[in-house]
Amino acid sequence: MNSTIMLMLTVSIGVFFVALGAFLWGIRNKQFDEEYKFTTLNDSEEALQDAIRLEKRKKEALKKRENLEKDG
Amino acid sequence: MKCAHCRLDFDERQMFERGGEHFCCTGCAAVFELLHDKGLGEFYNKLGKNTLEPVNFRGEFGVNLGFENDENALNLNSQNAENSENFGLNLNTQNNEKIVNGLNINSKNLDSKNTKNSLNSNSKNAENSANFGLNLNSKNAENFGLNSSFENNENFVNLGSNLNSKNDEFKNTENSANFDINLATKNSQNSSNLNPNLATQNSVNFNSNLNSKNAKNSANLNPNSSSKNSHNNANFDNLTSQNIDLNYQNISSNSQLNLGSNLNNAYQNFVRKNEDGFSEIHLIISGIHCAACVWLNEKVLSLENGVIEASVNPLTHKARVVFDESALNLAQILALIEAIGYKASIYDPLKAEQKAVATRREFYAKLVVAIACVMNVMWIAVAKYAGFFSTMEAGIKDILNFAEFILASPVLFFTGSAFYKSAYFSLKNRQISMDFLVIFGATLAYAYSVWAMFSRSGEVYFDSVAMIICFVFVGKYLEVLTRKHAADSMDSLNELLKGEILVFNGTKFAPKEPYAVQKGDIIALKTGDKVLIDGLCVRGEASLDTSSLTGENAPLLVNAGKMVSSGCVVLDGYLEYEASEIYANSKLSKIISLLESSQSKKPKIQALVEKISVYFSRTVLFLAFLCFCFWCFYRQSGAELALINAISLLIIACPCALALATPVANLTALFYALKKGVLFKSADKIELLGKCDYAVFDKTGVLTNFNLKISRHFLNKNLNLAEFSEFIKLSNHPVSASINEFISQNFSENLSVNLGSKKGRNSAKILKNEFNFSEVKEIRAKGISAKLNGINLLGGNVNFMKENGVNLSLNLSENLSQNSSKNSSKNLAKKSKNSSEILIKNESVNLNENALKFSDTHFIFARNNEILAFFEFESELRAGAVGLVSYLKKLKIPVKMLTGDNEKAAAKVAKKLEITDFEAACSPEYKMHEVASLGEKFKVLMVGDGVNDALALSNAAVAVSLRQGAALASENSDIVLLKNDLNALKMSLRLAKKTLIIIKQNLAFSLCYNALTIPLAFFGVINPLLAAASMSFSSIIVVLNAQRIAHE
Repeated sequence: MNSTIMLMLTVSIGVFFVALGAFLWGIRNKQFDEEYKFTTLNDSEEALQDAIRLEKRKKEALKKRENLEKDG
Repeated sequence: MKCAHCRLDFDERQMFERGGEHFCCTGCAAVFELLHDKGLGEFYNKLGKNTLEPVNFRGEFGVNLGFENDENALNLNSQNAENSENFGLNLNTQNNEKIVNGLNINSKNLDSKNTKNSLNSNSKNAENSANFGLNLNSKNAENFGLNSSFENNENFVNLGSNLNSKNDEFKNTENSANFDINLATKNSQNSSNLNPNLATQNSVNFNSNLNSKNAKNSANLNPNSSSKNSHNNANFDNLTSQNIDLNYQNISSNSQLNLGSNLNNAYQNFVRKNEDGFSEIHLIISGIHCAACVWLNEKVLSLENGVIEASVNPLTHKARVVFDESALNLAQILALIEAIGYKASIYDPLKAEQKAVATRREFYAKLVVAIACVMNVMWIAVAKYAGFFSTMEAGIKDILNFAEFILASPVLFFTGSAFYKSAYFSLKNRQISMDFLVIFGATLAYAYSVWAMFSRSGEVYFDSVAMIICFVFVGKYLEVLTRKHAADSMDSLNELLKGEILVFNGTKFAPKEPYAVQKGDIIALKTGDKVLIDGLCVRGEASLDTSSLTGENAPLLVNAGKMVSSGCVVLDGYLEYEASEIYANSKLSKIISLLESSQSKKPKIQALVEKISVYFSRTVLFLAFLCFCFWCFYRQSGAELALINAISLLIIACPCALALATPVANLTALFYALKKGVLFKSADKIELLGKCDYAVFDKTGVLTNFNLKISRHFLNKNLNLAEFSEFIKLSNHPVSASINEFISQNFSENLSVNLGSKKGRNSAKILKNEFNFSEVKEIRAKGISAKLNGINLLGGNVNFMKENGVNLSLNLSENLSQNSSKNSSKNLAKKSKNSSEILIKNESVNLNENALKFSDTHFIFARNNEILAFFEFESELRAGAVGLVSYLKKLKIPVKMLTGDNEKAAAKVAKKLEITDFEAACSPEYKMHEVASLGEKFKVLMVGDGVNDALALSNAAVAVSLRQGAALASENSDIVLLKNDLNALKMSLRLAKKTLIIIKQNLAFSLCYNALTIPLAFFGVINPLLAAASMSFSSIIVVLNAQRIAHE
């Protein structure tokens, strides 16, 4: 009985801390800086498209710069 | 009046009309037109008005989304095999040959030449008046961006390209910002500008030429109009490319934005490199009203090649743009925003903003940890309570205790670190703060619980520890949040002070920092400039608005030999002056430094609270010690019980309710006020406002509007209203604007009669053709003169008339005897809806010489030395002024008016408002002394808006300014009326009174609670857990009571 409770509590508190840690990581990484945007989720297809495009562009720009650095 | 698109309420003056509908902003107008556009409308409706709602395309359209290649994200071109480089969403229902990208709808697209668009509609719609996004209307003018029909001379914004295959008559005559990308479609050989921009008055042109046949053109804006070219490498993404020449040409002489000259500076100071090595710029975008505007700005920015991240905060209107400098420069970003009708100014986020954001982030993380842990601790605590009654095995209890220990520790040491820090600093200063009390009690309880847990004797109180910290921390977090909110709002309200001065460097006028300007430097001033340094005018002529310094409405004419004072704003004209002082010694700078020193004189209510809390904390600490001694030595009950009772006392005395009593009530009031358009810069000012017992008002801009109201006028029957109206438009002086508004409001029918049946824009053309004014001269602060078909037209004040040889008295009497048509003048009178006194020249009205004696600002119009019209103006009372003053009187609060304006003008306003106590011609220093001396006896409420009020505002107990007021005044005020309406102040006063009552109730309750429970805890009736529960209960009561404020 005792060991069961201990196990359950350990697992649940462990999971809780993992989740809390992930959330804190999100906060640290400025993902919740704009209240409006994280409370009013804009996940329309179009917004996601834009996000994908920007992400892609960022990768390309980084790659381009890397190549330039290699060359130069 | 409601905006046709966003449905938000706006003042009619803030709105503009387009196509019979009223809009608050260009973004709304564009989206509205898009919504009502034949082709795209329905589709766009489905997208959700602001595209903030997610859309289920499959459900909406019942068509499978075709993912035909890697780059296609959402294509509805199920039959279109040739689609190759699409992105975004396409909807080609009947057309399988069209190559359309982005958000497209070509429902019946037959001969469209659409390729690579992002937002398209209406290939065949010739009447498409406003397209949104990228349109490639083959039969239309190929509008891109926000274009109204290209034939329209009044396109407000053109972002985009003219793919003028058939039509190259793009004539934007009144665009303020064009972003024209001209594209050669048929003229493929032409590598230079194929579509000359005929814009005549553009202040910013962003002209780029694109050669569609250029095979290497890797960055085109839909350049290829060849319909079958499916592998076109033209992308909307690459709106600006290396092929595009950016030319910033200040064609207009009154250009307000010289992007080029400011760019280097902006780069040096504001563009930062982020961790990825990309450039980052922070902007404040003005003109944003709603989510549509935000969407539009983000969309346009994110579609731009080189932009890595773009986000606009809808609340603060701040934009953060991360971009790749090798692909895009700052100028292009700014021009892009300008192009869609918004104004972007660069701001430095380091100014406190970044600090505020970081603090908020830190507090947010701590709050999340506290709440999450407390919730879990409480689960376990509930189990323990249950076990307490139904007996629980000691082993299980130990496990639960340990779990509580694990969960409570982060709360105490992570969340509570803020308290430890504060306690440390207070101890360092040999003080005991509330924070110290809280953290001391919590730590003591924690330490005891750890001992109890490991020694397996007695109860643990981890749940109490976690709850205490969590509750008190919530209060702290709210404080941080409010502070940031206030800072955000102020940032977006205050326009960035352009601290640059144009100084002659021997060859030309170049911008210079104010501090670098030396005595004797020649400085140039243009319309709209703020004067930052005192000096003596050497050349040119300009009328200056001195109202922020003196409160006088009438513009001051400055020409060679006259003094130019800092703090003024140039209304119109151009002048060069020699700096007579350096910046530090100039009037404006002196006022600012006076302010800085007077700020320390402000009543520090916080100091009082701190003082009380010190005594409170000491007393509680002493009582806890006494309690411990009482139980330990007197009752000899052992250290454990003694410690528990002492902790109970500490916890129950924890001034949670007391600490929350005031801020919670203030915060509730603060948010309620914000909803009603009143911004309190700090929460404690609400309480102070309720205590104010003396009110001081500035006149100009506070009790009266800046706008001039026509008090009496005279119109001769021979007056050609259309001619007069056009003549008036030659000047953009506020007086002319008022007259023009008056004429168009009251005599619009006469105007249309004069013009025949043609109305609207057509009439403007006719007018321009009909009235070819020549020799137009505007003499600053005096009047205008012009010639029309050889006839002299004069408009201005009495002196101006005299200077030009118009005999005023003679002229009128002649007039009287010569013209006496009753009918026509009566008609005019009938047409006038204005209630002001109308003087109509006919036999029954005595129009004598006195009629031309003016006590206020006035304007006389003479044609061939014959006076045909005159107008006299008076200051218009601000909305709610009468109501506010009478409300104050009802509350028996004395009202005083201090104005820099002349005695006569002040007396007039005072009489209207029934203010008996007023002083005119007050200097800023006098106002300050007056407010300061009143402040010795009363709690003074000061309402002002000018630079001249800033000193007085800083000395008042509560300072109120209006949104439209000077930045300096807003900075030094505690309350800003966002709607420029004095009714809001009345509402605030009422709210403040109510808040004060609630605060008193809360304080009384929490004090009674403490007074009752401390003795109970002292004598061991309450254990720590019960103490924590009752403490929370008391806090909840206080919070709930505060909520009553918002339910007025």
